Amino acid sequence: MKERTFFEVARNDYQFLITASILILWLGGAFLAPWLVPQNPYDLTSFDILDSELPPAWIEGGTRQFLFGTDPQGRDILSTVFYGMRLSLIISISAVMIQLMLGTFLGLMAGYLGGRWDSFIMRTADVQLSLSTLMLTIITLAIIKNFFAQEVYDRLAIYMIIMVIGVAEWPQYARVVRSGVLVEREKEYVAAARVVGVSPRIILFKHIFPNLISPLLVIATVQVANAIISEAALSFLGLGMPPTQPSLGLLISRGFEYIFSGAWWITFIPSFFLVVLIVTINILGGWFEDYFNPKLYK
Amino acid sequence: MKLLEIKNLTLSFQYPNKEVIALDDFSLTIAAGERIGLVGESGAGKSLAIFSILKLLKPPCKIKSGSIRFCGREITTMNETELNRLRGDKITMIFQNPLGSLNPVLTVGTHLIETARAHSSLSYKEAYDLACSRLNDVKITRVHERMRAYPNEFSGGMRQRIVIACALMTNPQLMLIDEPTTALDVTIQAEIMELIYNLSVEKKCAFILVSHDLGLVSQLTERVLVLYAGQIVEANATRQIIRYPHHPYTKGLIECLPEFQRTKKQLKVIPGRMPGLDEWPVGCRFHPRCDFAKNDCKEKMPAVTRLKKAVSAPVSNVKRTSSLNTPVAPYVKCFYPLNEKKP
Repeated sequence: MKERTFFEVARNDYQFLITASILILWLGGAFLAPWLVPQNPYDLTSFDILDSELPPAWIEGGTRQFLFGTDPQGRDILSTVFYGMRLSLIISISAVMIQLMLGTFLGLMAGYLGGRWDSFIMRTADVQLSLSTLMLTIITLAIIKNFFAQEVYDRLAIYMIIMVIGVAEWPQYARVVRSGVLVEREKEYVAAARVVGVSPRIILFKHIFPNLISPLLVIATVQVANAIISEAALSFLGLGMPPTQPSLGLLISRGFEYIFSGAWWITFIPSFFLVVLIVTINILGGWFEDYFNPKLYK
Repeated sequence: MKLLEIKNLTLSFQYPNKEVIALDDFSLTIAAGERIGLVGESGAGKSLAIFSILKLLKPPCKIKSGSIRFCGREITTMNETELNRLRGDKITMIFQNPLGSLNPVLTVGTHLIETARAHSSLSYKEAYDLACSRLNDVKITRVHERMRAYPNEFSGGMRQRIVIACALMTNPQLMLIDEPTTALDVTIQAEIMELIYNLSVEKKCAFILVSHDLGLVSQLTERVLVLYAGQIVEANATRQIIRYPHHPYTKGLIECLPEFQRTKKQLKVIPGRMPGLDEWPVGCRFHPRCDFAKNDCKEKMPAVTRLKKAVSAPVSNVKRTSSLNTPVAPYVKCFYPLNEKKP
């Protein structure tokens, strides 16, 4: 029997279609923000302080010009949210790339080399997992922040956050990859490959590794959502992006101060976008898990 | 010329507190183009013996002593790089389970081409063409389509054909075949075995066929070694061994096979089971199950007794194409060999 291709399966699955289309809408909006949204929130000349704290368009006092209202500086919330989401996504996807590469490489090495290297890598992973990611990133970023002058840090912030979140989460991947290598290398096709004289390095990367891609893809999807949350949390705590380039977390944190003065939309709108983004990514992650696991997939 | 010469090979499992011998003083010689069968019950050490030829033993199993020479080169002292050059090029192996020996994420073409290119400087195109012709050799049609297919799209028999094609990519001189048809059903078994036999004749490739099925082995090989509890108990030309088994164990094995029984009586069985690795009895290892055991069988290990070169007796159901002289004199490891006077 020929297996159904990805698209054949996906086309008939409403859960997939709905979440994927929302996610595409969100991603499209985020990455095309400079061409889509009415205002450039990074450009101080494009907004006016007189427009500050305008409510969303559907509420009395709101205008068509600012669909989701404005923030205390008079920036259009729609624009800042999409720009912010773009930043959040760039940060989280890059961080996940780093996690993937680092975790996969170390996991492959641990499983393949075994012995002392295995113990060293995996015990390091255990130690790191025993500290929460957030704690680790907060400490590291707080230290880094004190090393640099404010302007220098603001310029480097995005790279720092990517690095810190990227490095903090590698044990997740390393564990999965290592256990995968240990399982796969006992399988007969590995012995068969050895028998025909394929070198151990090629066996590891060409024969064993492709068998581990599906669990990795599932973790990576969920980790994108986690990285967005981490970044938002860091920005919320003032350790993330500078106020001139607000990410979703920073927008929520800034708007939080106005929630009791009645301007709820300043914090609510970015929160809504963040929650939808994370929920869709997580549902898709779960969907991929089912898709790749033939035992679960109907 | 001797293609492979194994001398006094002893394999052992080394545990922290004890050492268990798994294969005891194993010797075997195979000439180019010769087909040998290695027969025995599960746990006799058949698979270990052929795994050791490619040094694929997994710890705690180790080569304790002895030598393995392939074309005059010592294998036991080779390092991994040298072994990789040898594996798949001059010696290849066909595994028991064709479902497991192909990687599910790589296409059939990748498997074949990779093998060829690991051992030669063929270009991708040349390797592809070679792979196609090998698939033709194993009677697979629509090769271009099949090259792009994944192993899960094939049936067990087809997969074993692909594994065979893979093994033949580099024109090996020796194939190690580990119960190639246990995972397949009987009709497919006949096809696959015939294919292996014909290809080995055609490509002048020697093979060692490991099996517990003496009937199967007798159809395809010129010489048979019978392994019991880590020792070769009898070695002889196939037709001799079938017609005149000298060791009581061999006799027992033959009597278990319906195809060698002329009368329609109930088949005999060998009573008991083979002892485990750590419970080998003193004396002859077969004596607790042997109908002919006498007192000295229980005390001393029997020495190897050379047998007289037997006169050739044509046996109808043994397929014969060449009449190679058995390079090693037939022998039996028993105090009281059966059939000693008959030939």
